[in-house]
Amino acid sequence: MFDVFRESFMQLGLLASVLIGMSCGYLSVYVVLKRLVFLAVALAQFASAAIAISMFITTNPQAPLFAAFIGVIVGSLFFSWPALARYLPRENAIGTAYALASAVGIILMSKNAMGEQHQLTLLYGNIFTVTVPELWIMAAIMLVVGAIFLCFAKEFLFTSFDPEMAQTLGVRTRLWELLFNVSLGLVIAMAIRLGGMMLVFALLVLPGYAALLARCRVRHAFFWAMVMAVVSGVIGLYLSYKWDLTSEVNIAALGICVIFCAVIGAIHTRLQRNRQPLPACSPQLQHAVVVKEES
Amino acid sequence: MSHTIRMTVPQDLPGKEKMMDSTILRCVHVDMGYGRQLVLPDVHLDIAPGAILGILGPNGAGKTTLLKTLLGILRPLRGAIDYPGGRDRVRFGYVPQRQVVDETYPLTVAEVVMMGRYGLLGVGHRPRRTDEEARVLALEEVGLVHLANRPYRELSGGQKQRILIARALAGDPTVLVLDEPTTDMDLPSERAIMELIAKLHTRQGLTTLVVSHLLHVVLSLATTIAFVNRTVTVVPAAEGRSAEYLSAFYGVPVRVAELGGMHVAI
Repeated sequence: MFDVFRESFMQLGLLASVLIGMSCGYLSVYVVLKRLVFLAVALAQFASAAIAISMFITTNPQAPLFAAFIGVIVGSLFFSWPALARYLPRENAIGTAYALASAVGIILMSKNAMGEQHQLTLLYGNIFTVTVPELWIMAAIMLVVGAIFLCFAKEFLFTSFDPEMAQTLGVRTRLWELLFNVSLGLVIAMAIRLGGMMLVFALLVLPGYAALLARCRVRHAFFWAMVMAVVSGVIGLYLSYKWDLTSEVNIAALGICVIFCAVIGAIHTRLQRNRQPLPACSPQLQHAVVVKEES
Repeated sequence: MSHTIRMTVPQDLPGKEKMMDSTILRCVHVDMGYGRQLVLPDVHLDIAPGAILGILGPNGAGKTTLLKTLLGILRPLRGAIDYPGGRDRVRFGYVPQRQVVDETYPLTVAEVVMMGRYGLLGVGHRPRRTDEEARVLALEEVGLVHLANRPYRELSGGQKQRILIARALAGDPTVLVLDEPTTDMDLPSERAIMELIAKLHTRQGLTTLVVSHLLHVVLSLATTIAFVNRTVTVVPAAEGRSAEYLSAFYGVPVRVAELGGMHVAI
């Protein structure tokens, strides 16, 4: 198996898979718990639309990545805007923004003189074509986001679990929500650039979902989600090379396999728990049962 | 277990600092609402230290708006809430409706209760030994210290409510605020929660705000009652418990009886 990873592009792909797996795996627990799956998709679409706009305006090779960051930050600010939920449910705004961003991306892509395939690669990434500078940027983002989530773990958990209670204790919930959305957006923007939209979306949902289905405690859920995302990414990459398949689909499929395993594990645990004998009853009750049986 | 809920208001406040003023929180000419929507105009309200203020009213009357504004979750549309003893001396211990607490989070009881300390910890600081001790004390106060390592979502409704009260107590509050503390509970659990609230009030001298649409809960616990129905009228509990007052407020004939220390309205 390790022979495959002697190729330099596979080594870069492996590093990219590990970085994407760790960052998306960690955030996936929050994405599932905070019910942000739709928001994650919308932010990814914002990044894509921003890339399409940048490619329509300029041919500078650095522009798409820069545009993706701008796109997700604008999206994060927009979705964290308090007035958004005042008149309509936030899901409506997310859905509308998603549709608009998709439409902008498709229209600009179809009108662009550059080759469609080239644009699709830029938009949706390819983990086999990752470059060293891109890996450095991803590593830097992961370090910053990781440090933020490590230092402020209790604030993120508290404000997502019970924002009203947090507010009564003077915690600035909107600030933490904004910081969360921007961090999520940055990871999405870079991870899409490296691995593609499908892979990122799969890794932002499936590992967290599997860890929570397996009834892990919250701290363990973060760890296991990261492990599952990295393992899915590495094995998916290996199988893609061996079977000559698209890496994104492979990794997503593996993620789904992991979910099935987690479901089976959760069902097994529950059945085991139900099969456990009931605690022994008190001597008085035992005596009462014996007396009744004798009578 | 005693089935009489003692409602004596302590003259002294054990464990808590006495307020210099006879009011810890005051609203004068305060408009309350969401966004631009005015729900409660021109609210006048004084909360005395050591009191149990019951907030009563039909659904949609503005009880939650009043509560959220007092807690600082909503900003007043006009006017401001005054804290005569100083804002720093009023620390809320909020117990939300247990149905709104998200049960998908795989948190243990200990983790949930510790959240009550987060306001005192400061940004980026982790719980210390004193916080752990406060968590244990809070769990002891509600009699559930043995459940510390159990998942919160696997508890019964009554246990969850006690854990949420413990979480509020862990923050060493001066004002305990309970939103619909006994809704959707069976009779023994409801009784146990009411006894716990009364016990906490008597033992710790906590100023307590109880919001409920259940008449018997508020009538049995409160020393002062705020009747909310697009306006806020505050009356002493003795007056608010009278059948005449309740009949006039609800617009239907109401009878009040006292049974085993509880006030029941039919």
